[in-house]
Amino acid sequence: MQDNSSLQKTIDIGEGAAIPLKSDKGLFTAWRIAFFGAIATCLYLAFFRPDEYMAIFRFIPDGIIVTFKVTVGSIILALIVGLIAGLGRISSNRLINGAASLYVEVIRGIPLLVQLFYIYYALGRFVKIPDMASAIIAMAICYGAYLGEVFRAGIQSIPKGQMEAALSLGMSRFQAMRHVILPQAFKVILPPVGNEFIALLKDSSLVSILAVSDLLRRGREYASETFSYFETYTVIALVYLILTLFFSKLIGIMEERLNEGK
Amino acid sequence: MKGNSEPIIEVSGICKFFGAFQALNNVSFSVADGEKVVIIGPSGSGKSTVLRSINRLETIDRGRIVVHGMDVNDPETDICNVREEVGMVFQSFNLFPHKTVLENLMLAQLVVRRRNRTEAENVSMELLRKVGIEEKANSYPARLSGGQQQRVAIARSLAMNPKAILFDEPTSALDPEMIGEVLDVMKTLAREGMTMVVVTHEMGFAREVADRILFMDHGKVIEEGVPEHFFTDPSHERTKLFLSQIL
Amino acid sequence: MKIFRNIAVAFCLLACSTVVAFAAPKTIKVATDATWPPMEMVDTAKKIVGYDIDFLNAVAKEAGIAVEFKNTAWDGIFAGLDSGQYDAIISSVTITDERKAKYDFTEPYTSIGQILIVPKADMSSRKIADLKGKKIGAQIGTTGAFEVKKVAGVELKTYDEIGLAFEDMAAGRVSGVVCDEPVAAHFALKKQEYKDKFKIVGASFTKEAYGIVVKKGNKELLDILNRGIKAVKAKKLDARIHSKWVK
Ligand SMILES: Nc1ncnc2c1ncn2[C@@H]1O[C@H](COP(=O)(O)OP(=O)(O)O)[C@@H](O)[C@H]1O
Ligand SMILES: [Mg+2]
Repeated sequence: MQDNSSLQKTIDIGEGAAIPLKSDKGLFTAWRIAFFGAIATCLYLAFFRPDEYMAIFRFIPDGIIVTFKVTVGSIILALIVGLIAGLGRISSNRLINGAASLYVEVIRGIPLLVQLFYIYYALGRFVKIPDMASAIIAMAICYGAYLGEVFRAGIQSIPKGQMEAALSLGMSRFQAMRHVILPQAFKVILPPVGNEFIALLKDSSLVSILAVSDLLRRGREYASETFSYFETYTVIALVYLILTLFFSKLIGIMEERLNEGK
Repeated sequence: MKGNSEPIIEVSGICKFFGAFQALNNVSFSVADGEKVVIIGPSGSGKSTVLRSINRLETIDRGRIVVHGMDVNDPETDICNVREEVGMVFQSFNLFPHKTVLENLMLAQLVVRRRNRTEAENVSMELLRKVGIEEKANSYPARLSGGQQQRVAIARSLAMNPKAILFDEPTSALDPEMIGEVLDVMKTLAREGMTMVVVTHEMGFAREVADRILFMDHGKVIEEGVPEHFFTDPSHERTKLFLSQIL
Repeated sequence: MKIFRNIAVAFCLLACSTVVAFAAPKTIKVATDATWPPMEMVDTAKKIVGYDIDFLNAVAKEAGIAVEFKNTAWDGIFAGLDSGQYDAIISSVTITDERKAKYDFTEPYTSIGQILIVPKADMSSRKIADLKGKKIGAQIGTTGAFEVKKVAGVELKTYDEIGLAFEDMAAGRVSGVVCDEPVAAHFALKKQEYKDKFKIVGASFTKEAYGIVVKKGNKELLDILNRGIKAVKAKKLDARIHSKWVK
């Protein structure tokens, strides 16, 4: 059941941005250059090239808010889905285990873009859910599968003796998970979850195909009306860069805090 | 000594297979209230498996285990009730590293015994005093020596007021200079009348504390007897050989 | 290193082929967003068909050139013209002052107007302003979208394809859709799954004309196309194409 070599790997990979930790000097410097460089470029464009750029900066703010809402909403929901999937994957109940494994396999086998289309329009066929909620649900279902694997790996990285000690004190499996295993697993999974968060932030741009007015869609609307494609996408790219760098920094700080607390 | 009263633990004819490998072969014994049973035997003979079967960390394939009137493997039995009554101390301590020593002791009291915080804290501090590490109450386990950790683990078991405690080689992971402090705690418990099943290689402890000694080999109980007889005049060749190697 | 060389070679070939295409306008590449039935769409045989396709083929025949169609997403269709991926666009492009400022248009070849489609159950809405506080869908970067944006109090929701806007209206996520009249007729009157769900309300509320788009200053191609359009109109071929696809 346990395959320790593969879990180590699962824990290590991340498709998000590189998280800048103080210990990694090179990355830390690169982060600063990129982050403050992007901000400086935006300011330059807005104030020294206002004819081309000011209107873009006025057009996109509500898109940034939508991107933020979609990202945060999706990660929260995905964490819940992922926890359930992860617990299901390590369950000894064959039905639950099978269902969770099937979910993870199916979702990981379908491109995110296809899933978004599918879930969004499939949901629309059967239930009336507003567009942003549908987009969040779709993203959460996709990312839940990835986070499920992170949770599984995190839980399995906790030595077996911890569960046994908790059980032999009379705790139920649920209590043992809640009070003993998950709090420890949390520290292990925070870095990969942070990575997934950044990846999700970037992938949230895909919801623009669902006609959700996120940052990218706002940019496309602006560009398709004014034909200033270069200027618009320059701004869109810079804003995404600032957002991802900001959040990876935040996650880096959280990680450092957690390590100090030990 | 106290062998007449109703047994706390009754193991009858249990077998355990790991795949095709038979780890336990028809093991039977019982532990009376207040009795101290020491299980010895070479590595891989099934000692841990016996202990772990008693609180169903392993499920047995044949036979029956009754703890304090509850059939451990009966689907009707809530296994948590059994485990509340039978404490377990592991070779590797298994303290919860994310909780302080005090919190380690309090956790199960709060969520299993449903004691209130004050009561749980009082019980815990009392027990920490008893095992001699109250000054470490607010430290994390990683800051403690192995001997201290194992004493905390024993206190953690005691906090549940168990009817019996199972010890699985509690001193095997310790540096030699720390073995004494843990054995001392266990001896105190024995004197106070705690029912104990102890797997150990500490023959001095066995001789001093045990009411009865079981010798296991290849998943079977080969010999069973009181210490005087067991150490001075074992009846089986296998036992003699083992004792000659270990003493 | 080898990979880089290969990429470089590929780029050169690409650049050369583009240059060749420019130099010999015997065959012109024309972009169309084939998600706008019945004007341009992909049929079950995966062929791009529709009013615009038949029309441009007729024009090309009259002008003595050949046409190669390229299915291209609408948002970005102008950017592709800028970057020289094709020579012209025929995709129900309304001639507007903003577009004329950046691109050259042929003579208008047909006139249409924007129109509102709502769910059958909506008994009160006749025009965009009647849907204040609600969402209206339109394809991104179309005159339909611009019209919705002009009306204060309604929220515009833009789609990559107009079909997705209708699907979203079926799912209740938007309360109306605005698009070109012929397209509206196709979705609301012809399409099986929407016929019972949607209806066209009011009359078309803009006067627009479609033109073929070429890069600013590409006078050579513009003249060829205009010559062809003139001939097609003179022979009344456009009326025949119109009756084939619209109504
Ligand atoms: N989970 C397991 N899977 C397979 N074999 C096991 C497992 N646990 C124990 N065994 C085997 O069962 C035998 C008895 O183990 P154990 O009870 O731990 O012995 P002891 O405690 O006497 O050293 C050993 O041969 C061991 O390898
Ligand atoms: Mg053992």
